[in-house]
Amino acid sequence: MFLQLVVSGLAGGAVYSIVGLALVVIYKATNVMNFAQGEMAMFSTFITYVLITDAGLPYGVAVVLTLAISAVAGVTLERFIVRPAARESLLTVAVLTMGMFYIINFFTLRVFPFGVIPRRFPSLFPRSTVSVGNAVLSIQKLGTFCAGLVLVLLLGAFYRYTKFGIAMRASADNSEAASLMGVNLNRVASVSWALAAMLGAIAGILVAPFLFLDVLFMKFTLIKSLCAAVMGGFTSLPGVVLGGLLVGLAENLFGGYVSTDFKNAFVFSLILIVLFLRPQGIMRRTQVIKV
Amino acid sequence: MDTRFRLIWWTIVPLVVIAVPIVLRENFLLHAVNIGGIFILASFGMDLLYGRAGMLSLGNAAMFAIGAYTSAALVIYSPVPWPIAMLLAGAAAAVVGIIVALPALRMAGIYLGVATYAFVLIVHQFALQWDKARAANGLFVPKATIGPLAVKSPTTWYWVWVVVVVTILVLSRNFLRSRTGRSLAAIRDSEIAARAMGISLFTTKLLVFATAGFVTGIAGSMYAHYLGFIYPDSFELNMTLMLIAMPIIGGSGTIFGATIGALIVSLLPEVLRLLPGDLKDFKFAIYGMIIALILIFEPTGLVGIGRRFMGLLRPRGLLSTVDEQSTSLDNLQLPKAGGSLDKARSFPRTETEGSPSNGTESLTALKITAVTQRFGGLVAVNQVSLDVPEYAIFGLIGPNGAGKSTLLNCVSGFYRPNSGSISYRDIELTTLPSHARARHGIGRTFQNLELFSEATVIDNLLIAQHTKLTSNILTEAVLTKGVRKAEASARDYSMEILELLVLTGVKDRVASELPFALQKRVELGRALAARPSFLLLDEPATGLTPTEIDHLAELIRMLRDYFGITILLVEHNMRLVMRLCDHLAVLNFGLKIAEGTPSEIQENEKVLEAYLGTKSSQTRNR
Repeated sequence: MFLQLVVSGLAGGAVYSIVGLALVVIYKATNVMNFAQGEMAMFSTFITYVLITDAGLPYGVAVVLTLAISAVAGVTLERFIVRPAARESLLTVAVLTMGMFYIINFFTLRVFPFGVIPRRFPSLFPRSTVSVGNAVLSIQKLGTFCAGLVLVLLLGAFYRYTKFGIAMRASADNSEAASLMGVNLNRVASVSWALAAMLGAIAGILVAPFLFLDVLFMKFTLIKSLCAAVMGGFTSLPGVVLGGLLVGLAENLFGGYVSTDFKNAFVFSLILIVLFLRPQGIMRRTQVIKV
Repeated sequence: MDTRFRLIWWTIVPLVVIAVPIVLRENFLLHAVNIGGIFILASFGMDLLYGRAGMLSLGNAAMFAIGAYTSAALVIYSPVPWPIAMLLAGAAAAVVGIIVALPALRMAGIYLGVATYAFVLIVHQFALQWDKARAANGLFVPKATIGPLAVKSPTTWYWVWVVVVVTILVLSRNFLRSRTGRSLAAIRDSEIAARAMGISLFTTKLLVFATAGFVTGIAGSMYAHYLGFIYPDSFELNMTLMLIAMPIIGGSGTIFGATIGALIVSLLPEVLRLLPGDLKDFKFAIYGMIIALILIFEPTGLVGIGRRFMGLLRPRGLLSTVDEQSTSLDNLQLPKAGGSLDKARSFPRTETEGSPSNGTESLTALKITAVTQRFGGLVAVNQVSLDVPEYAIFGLIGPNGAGKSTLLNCVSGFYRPNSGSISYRDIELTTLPSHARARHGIGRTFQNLELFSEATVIDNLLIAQHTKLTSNILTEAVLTKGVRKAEASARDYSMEILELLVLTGVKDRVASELPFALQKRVELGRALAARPSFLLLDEPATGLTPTEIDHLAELIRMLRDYFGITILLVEHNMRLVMRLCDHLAVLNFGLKIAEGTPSEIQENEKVLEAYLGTKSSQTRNR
């Protein structure tokens, strides 16, 4: 039972980590707290669903097409909704993305009117199990965790080794200096939103088989991913991943051993305690205020 | 707003309030108006936190839910009559408000938003479990009664909420215009400066969350009894968004904005219902779009649009000019005799203490003993001891990175030294929080201006008198005679300081709109308004022209000679330092390398070396 719960926790945690990373990618590049991240992912997942079930495309092709469409959608949102308000305060833009939450929700329902009724979403992985000792583990969950892990490593490598990744890190540290060094900040913003939209799409596709697909299916995922991002101090990529896995493990272990009814309440209380003790995130050092 | 406009305003509003139930009768629109009216308080509670105190709380739906459930449970399970239950619901929500405020003590901005939203989810979960335990889907709430009168019809409800809402808003308007309201603006604009003005962040944040909780809880109670049925899902994400949308659409930071926003958001679905198509189902998307449009084009909401329409607001981003003549320091004068400023000059002096002019042996005002401040591996201040005598103008100089500002921050309490002690007039400061030090008479200005940027000049000075006023939110709400008197005299005092600093011409201007030199002067005025006996000035001459620096020197000398304020000055401008200071201490790499009179320091070899490299050795080699 313990091992099963751990695997479930890791699978959920991987998804929270990916969405958390998407939030951080956007935050680092454009200083925007994107409350619409989950809805962007939801929209992408609907596209995949339609491409697979209605258009009959193979899974892989559908995913690639979805990623392309998501990237364009992400860039569009940034260019036409977020950028015009960029001069406003952090709080103002955060509230703006809450508005986007509902706009995307509305738009998705218009395009996919069937979205009000929850639907089963096909899984990338076989719905079979594997036995380890006396534990029966789901291949789907193990696969989800591994896919998440690969994605995290790829993102880390992109940030660390590619020229554009370094430019993105530089503009996160000091956007003025980066732009003086020749970094095109608008392009960094566009690419970040595209990247975040694609990360969200993958997270949606990974998590949808466990939940039922409807227009609100990403709500709790988003909230827990926000917790993951906050635990990473909104900047530290390893911090976010660790935070995501902790949230996933905490909710599954508590749900398995104590009570499923208060699972979410427990997770959120836990987050509150962690935040209270380490408001700067679990991986960051305390910063001295400069007076 | 001119008086004529105000007159029209106060005629129209009551007429509209009276006309609405007559015109709408028992129409479904009256129902929507009632919902909107009940939400006015929730919208106002949101705006207290977001618009007034600059804290993004996504936890208000939790306060609303607690208000609704407390009131319902009290009326169902206890003999408590509804009006009392409503007040108790407000109290319960205030307690929840205080709990929601706890994260605000440690974090700000979006973190706070996420953390406070957790409370909505937790309350939602418990409400769901309560439903499950009762095997019910929601909770039927009995109708409200006031004494023998059952509040049933929409028209009766209309008058009930009008009375409750108007009462609370009038009381709130009073405290918002007093000390408490100003302290909210202070923590919104600069927490650091607020602390330096003696405002406790802890008390202020808990107080504003409790107040927001109280008004939101009252709204929750009316909501529950008006609708007669509540269920957990109504207090979650959608309500959170509605609560944010209301003050933003109306215009955040104003009571009128919060009111109009609540009414519009509640009436919108009814208006949409009248339109063709199925637009009503998408009311949240439409809120979203309105929020987006308003935030992109006019972040001050409908109030801002209205003001702009009436030409009361200049186009955004355009800085208006300041008449240079009216603020010139060329004719700097001492305060007029007999004014409150003139009386206040004796404030720091007592009979037993010396005076700057009589030349007797000087007492130590500020005593810094072996203070060390480390940041990680860096020792910013290393075993520094200083004695600043009463009524001195004491200069602290040294190259960049010498630790001057760090030492200043240790004195004003922004940093806690790793070792050593600091005392002022025999009061041990080392462990006191910064706002408490301000209360002992230690004022300061900042190297990079820390004005309350969105507040007016005069409000900046009024905020500085926070510790000199004793009113609290309750006495301010009912505007007791004492509060009115204290507020008036604080205003007079501020006006005299503005006169002294030749700032009267810009008193109603928003601080951030002023030119840099004037902002610096406002900051000095703000420090003076707090009636300090000791003033820390962190590089006051930076960015000033030579003429402005001459004026500044005159001013600083006046602070000491006339008001008897002891001054610790950190400065790079040698001309100013040498002219002004009677003692100097020199820091280099965190160590005190010299101390003495200006002429002694100018001769000191170590000092020359620190400033000019190894000048002495070069001359020797030559």
